[in-house]
Amino acid sequence: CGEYHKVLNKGTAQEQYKMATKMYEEQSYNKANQLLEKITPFYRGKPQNERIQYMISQAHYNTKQYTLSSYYFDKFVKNYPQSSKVEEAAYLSARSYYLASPVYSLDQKDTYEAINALQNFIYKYPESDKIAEANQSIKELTFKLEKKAFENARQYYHTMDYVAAITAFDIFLGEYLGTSFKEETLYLRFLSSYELAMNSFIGKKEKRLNDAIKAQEKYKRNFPEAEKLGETEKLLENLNQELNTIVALKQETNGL
Amino acid sequence: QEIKNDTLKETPVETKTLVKDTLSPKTNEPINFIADNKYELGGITVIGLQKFEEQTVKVFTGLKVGMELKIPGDKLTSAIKKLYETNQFSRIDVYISKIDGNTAYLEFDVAELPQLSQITIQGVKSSKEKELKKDAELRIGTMVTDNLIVTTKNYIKKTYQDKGYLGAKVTLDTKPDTANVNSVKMLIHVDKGEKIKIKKINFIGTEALTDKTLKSSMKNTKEKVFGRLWKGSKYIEDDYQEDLESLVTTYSEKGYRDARILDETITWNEDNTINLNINIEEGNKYYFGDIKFLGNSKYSDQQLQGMLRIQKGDTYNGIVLKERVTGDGTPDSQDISTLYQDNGYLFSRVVPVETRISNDSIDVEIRIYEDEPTKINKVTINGNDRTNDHVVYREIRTRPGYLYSKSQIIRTIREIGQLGFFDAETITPDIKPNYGDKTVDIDYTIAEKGASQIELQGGYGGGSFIGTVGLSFNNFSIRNIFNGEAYKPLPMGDGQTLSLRLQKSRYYTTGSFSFVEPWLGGKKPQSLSLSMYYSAQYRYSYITNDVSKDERLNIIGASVGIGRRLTWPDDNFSLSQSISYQLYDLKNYPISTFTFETGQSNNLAYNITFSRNSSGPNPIFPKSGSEFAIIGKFTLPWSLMNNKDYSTLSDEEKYKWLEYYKASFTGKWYTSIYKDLVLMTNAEFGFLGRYNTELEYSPFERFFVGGDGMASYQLDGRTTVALRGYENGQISSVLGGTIYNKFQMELRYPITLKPSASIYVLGFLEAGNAYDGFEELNPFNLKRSAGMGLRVFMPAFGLLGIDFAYGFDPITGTQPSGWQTHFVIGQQF
Repeated sequence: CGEYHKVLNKGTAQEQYKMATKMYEEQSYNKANQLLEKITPFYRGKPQNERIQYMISQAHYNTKQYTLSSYYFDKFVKNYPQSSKVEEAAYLSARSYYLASPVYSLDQKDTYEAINALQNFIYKYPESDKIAEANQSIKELTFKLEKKAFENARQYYHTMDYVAAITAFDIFLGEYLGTSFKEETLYLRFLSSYELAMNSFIGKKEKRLNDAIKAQEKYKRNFPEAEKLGETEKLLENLNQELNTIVALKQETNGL
Repeated sequence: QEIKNDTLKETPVETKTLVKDTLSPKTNEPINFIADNKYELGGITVIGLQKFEEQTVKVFTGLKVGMELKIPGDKLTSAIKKLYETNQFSRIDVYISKIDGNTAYLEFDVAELPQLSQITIQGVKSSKEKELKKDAELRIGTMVTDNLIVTTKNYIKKTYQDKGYLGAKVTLDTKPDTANVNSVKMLIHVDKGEKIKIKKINFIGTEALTDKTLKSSMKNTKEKVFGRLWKGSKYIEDDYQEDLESLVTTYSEKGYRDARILDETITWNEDNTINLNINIEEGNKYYFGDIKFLGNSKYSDQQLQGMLRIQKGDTYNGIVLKERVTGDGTPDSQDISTLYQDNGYLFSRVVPVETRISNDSIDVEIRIYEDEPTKINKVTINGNDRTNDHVVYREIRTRPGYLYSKSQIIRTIREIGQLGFFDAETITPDIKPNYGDKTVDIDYTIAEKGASQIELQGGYGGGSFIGTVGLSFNNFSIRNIFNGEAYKPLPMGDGQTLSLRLQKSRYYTTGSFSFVEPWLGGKKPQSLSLSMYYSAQYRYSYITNDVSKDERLNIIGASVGIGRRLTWPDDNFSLSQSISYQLYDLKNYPISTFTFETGQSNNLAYNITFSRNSSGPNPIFPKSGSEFAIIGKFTLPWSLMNNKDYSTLSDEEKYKWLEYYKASFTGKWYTSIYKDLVLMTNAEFGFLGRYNTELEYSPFERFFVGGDGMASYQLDGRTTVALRGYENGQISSVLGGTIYNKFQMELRYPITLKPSASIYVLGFLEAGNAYDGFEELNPFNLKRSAGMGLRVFMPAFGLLGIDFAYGFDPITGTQPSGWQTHFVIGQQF
């Protein structure tokens, strides 16, 4: 360790390079990184720099600093397109974004970056043995985005803002056609329109009742085997009853 | 898959110093070059190098020996481009030096740009020299181009002219540095001359407006006047041009819509000052003629006229007309455009058009294109790296399926800011209209800021060591408390508040815990708060330094409360209720509040607070809105229920269950006086009552008025009321008052409102008093004070401040209270 500090503070660039390689091979990535960042200016434009840049990227990756490692791997790919490590670097860059992507309820900037980077990797290296893993990662990430959109729509239902919930569920279904949340979305979409219709004032009631009835139909058509279908059918009876009353009332008052 | 050559292993550790073979003779053989043919790259030579190594240039080109190359082709183009992008070369030419069958050899002929090896600036102080170099981005090693020389010279000259050195002269020379290869030295000579002041501003051709009016409309260009401190009389070109525009604006506000500046000249006086001569053509004064509304179907002419507030015959004022029609740029602008924008008409356009000018009156048409109401489609947020979506979404008032409303967006920004988790000054909505289906998407960009405070203290006070540990997490996530992955470094993001505090010294221990969940169950903004408090203290002798464990006071307290936002009378209101309980357990411990030394006392009370808060947008420095609160606190009327004769009971029995009721009101108004200058007006009063006139007023829960208002002694539920200019608690009687009132006016001006630190200065006038019972009440006999102070808010420390205040009235005797200094920690006035 004493020698490490000596080289770090007083060593020549060559000594630091040697020490950095040694540290890197011994998996002391933090120490390696300190040295590598120090010698980068010296080796800029020199052939050794390719290896240095690669080691910096790997060291960040191995110390779980994924935001940095994605950046450095990206830079490596751009600067050394001829390198034998370029495919690996391209994959690790995408993988870094993937690992940096947070839980669905936070900002998903890294998730979009990851999908993009993985997609580019698949186009560029269709023969790579990482393709299966890359595809799997993309699937996971898109599911995360899907869950985010679904949960945010569901929050409107949860906070009993049914107007917002209906619109948000409709947008969600339009955006994620084959979503695995489809059954639950259609179910909650029906419940939202049911609540909205039943608690509506008379002027908008008929239209909303019809919308709720349609929502139930759609749920039934898509998931005839659904577990909660029976429950919705009971509610449907209420809707029809209410609708009959309204229509009768309308006829009585001559549409006024 | 073929095994690739590992390029990483090829490079040895030591740098090779290559022999420059730029003199090697070119081949004399004819070059049989076929365009668009593919060649193998046989080798590269670089000539014209002075400072760089050949190897370096080769690497920069990205070309490798053995690669396939089209000549001309994209690889070669990109090689040249890459070299230019290094900003190191002024010229790059590529030649084919040799063709050998299918192998081509290239020669790069380059010219390096000279580098700066030394920069000297004469005529300025050395600290200024450094600053100039930094601002002009002059560094050793910078490549010298003609552009650099011209821009540097202009930059320095402009820097001085902007400061009022109108006659500043700058010369810039470069000469080759013989000590270094291809380098130049730069010498900049600055002669800033004298600051040029404006002696007189002359207006020519003005009749309608006085010189005084015109001069005062020029905000930054002033005549030299003795004694004016806050604004100099320097001549600064940019400010002057701006002020010329405001002259025209001033005219147009007074009905002279044709006014223009014919020309302006500068004349030099002998004492090295200048005169500004401004020649103005005023034109005629105009009045409003007929005002017509076109295209309005949603609102009637009368409704719109009510917004416009301009009548036929009023002095023509184009600026007011524009403000009333399209808005004055403030969030609470009252104008026709906002009227439409707040009610879903996002795509509406409102334009005032002057249709006819006859004599001195101008007819105006307000042309309105209403378009259709716009519904909100997608609502998203980004930038919440720590706070979970649901915490932010529940504050958003623009929701899918509703009509677009500008004022709801403004309100959303304010309320997200009030959460305290995000930088309130940088919340920006991105409004993405979709004209096709008349919808709009809204994306809010937010930036997280630190919301937790940690306090760790050790100190020596009152003759013994005192240790304090305090933790306060304002954006906690209790459900993640056992989830190891959520510790980054703490489980955060659910908007809960958790605080813990523990303080210990030789003779006392206090501990407190509190937790607040603002949305219990996530359905409605109904908060749940829990708190617990424990304190134990022993008799301590300052003389012998002994602690006597037989003489002690223990207090245990707990409270549970719920609070929620109301929708009526409007949704700025909120109501909170709580039950609180304290047990006082004394053993041989005389304190002033109690008339007994050993025994127990219980304080069980119901608390209710009805409040309204519309202040904002930044909770640390509100610029508008108001805060009100009515607070009530009640115990049960024990004495009326238990049929005991209180006149014969011992004090210990009397105070077994404390009884009282207490009510108070506080109101604060924030008014923006001019831009960021804010006036805070405050009025408050409170009183403590008793159910049973046979009993004394409760010795607990009293009002202590005077001083910095910091609640340092919390044993007896007292209310500490600040009144600067007096000592702490000095205005009320020793046991505390049962009634108080207070009025306050405070002017605040921010120095900076950055999220890292908000700083503002303030000046105040306040008055208040405390009374023992209604018999003594005299609401106009107030103790007055005035003063000024400073507040610093840093997220890690909370609020820190200092006030200097002068108390005008005497407390005892005839001497006024005089100057007092108050330190404020972690609390808002």
